[in-house]
Amino acid sequence: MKKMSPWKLSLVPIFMFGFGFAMVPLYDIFCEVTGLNGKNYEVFSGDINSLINEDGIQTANLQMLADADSRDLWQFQPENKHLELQAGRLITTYYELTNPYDYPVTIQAVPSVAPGEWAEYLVKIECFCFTQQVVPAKSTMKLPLQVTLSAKAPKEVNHLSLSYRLYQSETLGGTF
Amino acid sequence: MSHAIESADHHHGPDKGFLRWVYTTNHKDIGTMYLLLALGSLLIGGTMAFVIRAELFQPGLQLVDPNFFNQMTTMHGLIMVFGAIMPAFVGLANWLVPMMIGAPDMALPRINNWSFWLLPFAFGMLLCTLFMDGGAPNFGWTFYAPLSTSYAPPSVTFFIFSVHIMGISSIMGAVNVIVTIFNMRAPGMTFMKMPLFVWTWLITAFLLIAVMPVLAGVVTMMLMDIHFGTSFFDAAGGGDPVLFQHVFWFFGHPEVYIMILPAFGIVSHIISTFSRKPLFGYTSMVWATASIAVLSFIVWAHHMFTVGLPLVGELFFMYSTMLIAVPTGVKVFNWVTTMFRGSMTFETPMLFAIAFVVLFTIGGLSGLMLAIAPADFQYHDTYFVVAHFHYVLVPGALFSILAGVYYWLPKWCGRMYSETLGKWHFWLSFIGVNITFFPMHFIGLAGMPRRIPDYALQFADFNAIVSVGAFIFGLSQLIFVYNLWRTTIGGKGEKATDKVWDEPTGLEWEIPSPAPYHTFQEPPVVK
Repeated sequence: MKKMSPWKLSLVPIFMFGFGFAMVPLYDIFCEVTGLNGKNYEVFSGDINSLINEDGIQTANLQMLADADSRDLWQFQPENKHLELQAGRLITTYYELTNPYDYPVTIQAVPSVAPGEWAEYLVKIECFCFTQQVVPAKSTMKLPLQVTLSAKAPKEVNHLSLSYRLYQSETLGGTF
Repeated sequence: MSHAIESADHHHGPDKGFLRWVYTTNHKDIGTMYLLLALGSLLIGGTMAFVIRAELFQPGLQLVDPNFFNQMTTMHGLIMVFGAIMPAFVGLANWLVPMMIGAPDMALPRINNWSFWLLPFAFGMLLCTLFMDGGAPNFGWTFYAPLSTSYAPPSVTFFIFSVHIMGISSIMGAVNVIVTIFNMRAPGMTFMKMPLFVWTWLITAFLLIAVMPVLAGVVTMMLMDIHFGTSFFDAAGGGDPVLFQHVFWFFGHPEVYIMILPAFGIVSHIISTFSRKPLFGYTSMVWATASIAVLSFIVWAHHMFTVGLPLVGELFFMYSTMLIAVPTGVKVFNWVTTMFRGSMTFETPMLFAIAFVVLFTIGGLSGLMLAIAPADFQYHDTYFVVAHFHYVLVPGALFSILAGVYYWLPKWCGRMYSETLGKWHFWLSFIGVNITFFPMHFIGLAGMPRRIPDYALQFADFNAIVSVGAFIFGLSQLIFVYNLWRTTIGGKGEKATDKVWDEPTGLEWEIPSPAPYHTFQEPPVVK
């Protein structure tokens, strides 16, 4: 009779320990494929002129939302609550953030686009969420954002919501 | 094989003194230690449940502050799941698997010793957190991030290490069970002749080696988030707290079957013996157990219906969860059919086994209600969920363990337990458990949330009833403890025969009672 080797069997738990960690990238890939979480918007980093196409007729209403951590005393709001997106026309707008504390803070904005299935039709050229931002003590900052609608957007894409959640990032591990 | 020579050389009993238990590699000694650890955990976790129910006896904050209440719910869950139910099943496996397959011991006796001796340290460390600054873990036994990372008390690190240690112990125990069952069956015992307890434990052991490492992985990610600046679950650094729930429940759902599959094996033996009929549908029992195990890997997100899954996800996890009712229904059908027209008698193990079938089915049906995604939006995080999982874990898993202990105790110690005390224990437990957990369905449907130390006034009457039931149930376990003490150490009770019961089947009944320290050094031949 062929014997079962405990050493070979131990490969199963070792593999599964790795699989637990592999779930992290798999989760991101799954979200990207399915459009869940509203994170797979297009980031455009090529020649901006190639995007511009004044013939675009496809338009969509873009709603801008701001969501600060309720434990923080942020003043965080968009310049415009609604914008008209048009394929091939760049829109530059900003969010305003006031730091009420008497010390500078580093923040990270995390974006989310709804509906998630249409997130890929939002093209970001410039966003304050790409990097962390340092807000000096007791001051207000304008955080820039440059977006447009993808030329690939089908006709039924008539509205998109873009929301930002702010996190204070130098205190990773607690905002008490 | 040199069994003849060995048994001549090593024909001795256990060593003397305390060190016998430290150095032992004997499966019976280790099984006993596992069972005693589980009993200790049951009493400690039960005491915590007393604190919870005393606080909830009436509305308002009476006895403990909310943070300590949260520590009690968390520790109660962790200790009952990892300290009582799981070690009790491992203890039963240690005692019974070698005796049932005709093996002299477990395949890896020293690993077996180590698996056990890790546990007192893991639980010692976990219990020490109660006395630390900031208190014990207070984030619920499911330890969702960021509650268990950003907002956790400092003792969370000790919690993480104790989960690591108990995980290592479980994995080694499971490897041991698999290797024993594959390599050490008596000649002639094919897979489809194995007793069902052995089958269910084999499948459970595969679940354990597949998912305990995922639990180890998720607590390691927490450790890294807390101490090493990573952001697995921290949105500020690009992580996602929902990812935590996916990884946790990928472990967590198979885990709940780890706590019930061996129970299926135990009640199958007991119902067959006391119905004086062979088990109905042995083959379908094996296949049903295997199907439940396979399905357990594809249903985890039914714990997360309200996190914002897409419609397709809700539907997939809803239907796959409902599918589990099919193999489970096959099992319940087989147990009932085994009893059908049998010459049944109602000794304590049989009473617990029948209560298991009835009450576990109630827990299964409330599980089906929770599986309906749109309805779960209402039930989620209410006492209905608490009622559901206590029905499957207390009159489910725990009753099966109690039934198993009563059933095999005469074989282990050579004496019959007191049937009168056993019946008192059963009836008080049965009544207590239903008074405790049945009203929770109603207050849950009426909207009382889980994990709260105070509640709205309209829930007051039912909560008072629940608390009374909990005290009846908890205190009646002391009858069990006394009955155990009286039968084993006390030396009371009549001598058990080798068969103990009326013509039970299985190799464990072929050896004398009490089971000698070494058994089956010559493998029996199974026809």
